[in-house]
Amino acid sequence: MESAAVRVSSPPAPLFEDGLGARHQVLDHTTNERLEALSLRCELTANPSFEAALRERVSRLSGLGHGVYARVRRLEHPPAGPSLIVVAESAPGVRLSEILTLVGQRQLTLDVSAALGLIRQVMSAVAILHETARDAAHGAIGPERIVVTSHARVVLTDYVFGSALEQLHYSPERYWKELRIAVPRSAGLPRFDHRTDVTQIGVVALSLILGRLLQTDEYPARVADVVSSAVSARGEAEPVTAALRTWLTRTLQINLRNAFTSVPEALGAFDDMLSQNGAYAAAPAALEAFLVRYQAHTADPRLKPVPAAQMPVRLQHAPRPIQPASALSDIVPLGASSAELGRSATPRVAAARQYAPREAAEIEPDEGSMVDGLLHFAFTAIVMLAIVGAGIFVLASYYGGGAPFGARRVGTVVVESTPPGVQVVVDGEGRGTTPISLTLRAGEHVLELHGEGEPHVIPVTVQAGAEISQHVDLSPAPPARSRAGATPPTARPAGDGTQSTLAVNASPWAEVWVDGEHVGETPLGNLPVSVGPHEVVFRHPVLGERRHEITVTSSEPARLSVDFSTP
Amino acid sequence: MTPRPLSRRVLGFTGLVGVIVVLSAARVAGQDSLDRAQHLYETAAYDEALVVLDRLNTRAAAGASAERVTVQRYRALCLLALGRDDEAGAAIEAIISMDPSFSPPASEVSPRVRTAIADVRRRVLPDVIKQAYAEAKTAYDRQEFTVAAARFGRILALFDDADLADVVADRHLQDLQTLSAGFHALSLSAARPDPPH
Repeated sequence: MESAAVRVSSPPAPLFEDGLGARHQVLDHTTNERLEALSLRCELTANPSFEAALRERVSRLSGLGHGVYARVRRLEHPPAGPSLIVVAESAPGVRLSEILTLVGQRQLTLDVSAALGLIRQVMSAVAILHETARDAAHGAIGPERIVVTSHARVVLTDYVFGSALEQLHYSPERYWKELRIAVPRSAGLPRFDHRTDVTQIGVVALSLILGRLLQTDEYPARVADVVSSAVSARGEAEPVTAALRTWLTRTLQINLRNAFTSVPEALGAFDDMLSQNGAYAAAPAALEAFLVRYQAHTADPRLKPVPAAQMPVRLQHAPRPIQPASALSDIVPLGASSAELGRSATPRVAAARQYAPREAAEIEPDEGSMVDGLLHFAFTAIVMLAIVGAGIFVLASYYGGGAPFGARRVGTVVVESTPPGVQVVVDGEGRGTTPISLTLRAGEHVLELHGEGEPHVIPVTVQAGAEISQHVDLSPAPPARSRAGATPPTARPAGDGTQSTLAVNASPWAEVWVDGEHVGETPLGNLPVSVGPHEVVFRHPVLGERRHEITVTSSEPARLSVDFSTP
Repeated sequence: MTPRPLSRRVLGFTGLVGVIVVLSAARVAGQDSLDRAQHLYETAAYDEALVVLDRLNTRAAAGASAERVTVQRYRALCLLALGRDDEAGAAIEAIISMDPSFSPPASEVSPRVRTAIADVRRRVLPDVIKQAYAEAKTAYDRQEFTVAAARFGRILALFDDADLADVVADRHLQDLQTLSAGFHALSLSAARPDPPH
């Protein structure tokens, strides 16, 4: 068991609570990092299988370093009490559930374009997890566990709970009522697999389209009725189109015969729906504009204003940042409450704000300062311009004769590859697999084709109204193979560069690292390694870890096996 | 009549050859034992294990089902280790056609292997059930009620399989489940000996 390396540096009141437990901001006194500690509910940890499965998943996904995930660092048992703490990196931003709570109270309107943009980002993020560990599911996707950053990006938290939640053996109704975890219907006990993640994405999508969190009695029994009668957050005047309703129905697994079974399938259908339906556009600009409005409405210190370069309207003068990122050096209770700020806020939003950084309390304008006064005016003007710009954008999107606003400012990139089926990433965001036709904003973009081996990176310049084609030949595949549930073996050369192979096995089984690189789960053969000494680590979630040094020669393949049943 | 010296030499040479042949056959048999294949697999000698297993597979084609399942199981593991996933899938498919309930516990194999097995089971179990239903129904039609009851019982057990949860909503499978339950009850009833008068 790990020793407690973090201390709670804030009062006991939690930063945020959901069905899994309460979250506090903590300071890791060994690295001086600000982290987030989730104290799990005792009802969950009372089941010993829950912790075992959680530990296994934390270990397996320790290499998940993508920026769309708040990386889980470790599990800790607190010095006192039976609870279990999940220590994770802190994602800067606002929980989607907080946003939806505010929108649900009709204090702000979430445009469908912004909602669709968020849905697409969530799907891309989950697809990355499924691609990284094909037998692993997130299991806890929900508005409570999605953070929206000030740069209009989503970060998924708590991605290690899939197999642990499955150990609880609750019914779908109980998962929803007690934990607000959506689980699809199944013949036997609920399983937390990729289909469950698709369902949970469906619940997030439905909430975003409705502009509110789903109520306890709306899932799972009444969800079909909610979808069929759905109107957007704008109200009765804006019914959801049949195409979007069909997509929601398939994502939510309402009819198992035509339900999506994987995220790529749901994502592909989502993109098809957007491309064929002129009424919708997943517009990043609409999301950015919404966040500007949200920040202006709540003065939430976790959402600093979007930099001028990323705003829908370009500025002459950048506003004074309300909360510089560099100011997040310490965590102290913030004296000013939401009431003092003259804003209405939900209890959770207010509670969360109590732990804003010290610098946030020091941003009162310097009275008498002409420069600050001008900057304040400039910032207000920016917000107003952004709101007006976003309004024009959205109006034009919906009433512009079926063609999305700005259609003249986009171009098409057709990407094909040999062999087909290679994952395409544009500017860091997964967009599907080849062959694919992409509609991109005019300007410079970076295409990445993720086949076997290193990604193939292609910078492209898209001209408005033009179509360009990219055909990439990836047929002479490199020797490295992609394995289900494991990253391709990429052991670093440790010797003279001459290549040989390594085969490893473990009884009963183990995850394997070669020279610090995760190469997969046993049995593993033909791992390409350089001639010379290598360190091989075998790790089993329950039986522990074994380390071995092995010297690989060019004369014959190296083999190594361990038996965890022997000391 | 005493044999001539040349004949004795020929007989002696023939005997020696016979002994060598017998010893060689025994050695080959030893090389191709399941224990040896298992040892080669455990020591990560996957290519060598496959050579032995392929020979055993050919010989076991007409042998006991349990031995064939074991051979195919190690073949699948070796093929997965070597990244020959399609061939591994075929081996797993062969196992499931012989033993539809085959699903090693999580403590025995890695999540990657479990996933590979579960994927194949999800794909082939519907067809396996349909085939099993046809066989059970044939036994029922022949009035072999004890056999039919056992076969329908195994089919019903498969419907509780977690790997089948994704496809169990299929209308045809639901129909087969209903029919199997009905014929199972009828077979049990018909197989029961008549009460003494």
